[in-house]
Amino acid sequence: MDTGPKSDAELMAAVAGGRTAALEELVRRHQESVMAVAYRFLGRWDLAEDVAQDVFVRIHRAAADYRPEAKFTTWLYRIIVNRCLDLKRRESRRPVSMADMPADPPGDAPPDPIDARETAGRVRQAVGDLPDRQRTAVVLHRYDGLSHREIAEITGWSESAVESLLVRGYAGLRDALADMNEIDRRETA
Amino acid sequence: MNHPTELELIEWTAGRLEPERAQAVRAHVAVCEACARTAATQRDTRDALGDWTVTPPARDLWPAVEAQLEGTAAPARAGRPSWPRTAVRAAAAILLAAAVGHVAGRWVRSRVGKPPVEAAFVESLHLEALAGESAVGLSSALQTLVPDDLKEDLR
Repeated sequence: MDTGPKSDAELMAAVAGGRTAALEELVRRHQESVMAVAYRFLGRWDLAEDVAQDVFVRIHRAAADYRPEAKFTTWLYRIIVNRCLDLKRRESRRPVSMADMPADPPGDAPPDPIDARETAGRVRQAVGDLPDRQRTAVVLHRYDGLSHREIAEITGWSESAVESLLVRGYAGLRDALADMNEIDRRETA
Repeated sequence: MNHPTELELIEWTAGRLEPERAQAVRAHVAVCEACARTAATQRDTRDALGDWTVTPPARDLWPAVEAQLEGTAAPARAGRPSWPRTAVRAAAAILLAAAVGHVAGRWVRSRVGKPPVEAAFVESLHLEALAGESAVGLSSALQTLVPDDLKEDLR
């Protein structure tokens, strides 16, 4: 009898069959990465946690529709991205700047104190200030290492649209972080 | 070689170009000052983005997810009435109100004698101006608009 770890697809089949323990295993396996992706989109851990919980509830509801031909993580990313974009759309109706959002909890900042935290804050804000679609493309590309095609599959946008969003997104970040790069260059010179 | 596109330079600085293409870009950047400058900027931006490290709080989401699953399953089955039942209840309420109104109206008329129902009806429609001009008479015109059971009352 095979007692090794089950694949995501096997766990999904078990969830579809009504086995809650399989969902519990999926949650424990993916909760950190789901929260990290959601946090990069939303810039707040409380929102990221809400989204992550909602993502797993939706996975449970949609388990019967999951087809193993689709890569589980692609499906998972699609749900996360849709939830985050929905939330951003709702948030955009009551304008709140990412700058107004609470900073990372102390335990989440890099161990190196003020400089590193300031730098991370600048980057977080620059990413947060990108338009939603550019931010989606850049986050999935830069932080999750996904290819243009994978991003296109997840978002439902064309590959050429994703490429255009990446170019514009990185250009925006380059402008927003230009002075930081300048300081770095001066310090290393 | 032509200048690489901006996207190619982004991918090249990320080390994500196919080896053959990466080799060609490297050779070009070595001799093209403009592309070397763009590539350096892309590398700086990429490095800066790397400063944003994220460590999710150590939290087990399962208890909250499990609670949500239990919370959403129960009301869907027990708490929320289905729409046909709601529609039947609404229709019954409307019928009851109409019946009560009808009976109350008959009772009032029987107490005070026959009121000038037709005149009141015309007045309520603000059709008085038509009454004098109608060749066939407003009364007969209205007869076609009045439901049969109400005609009984008008007689």
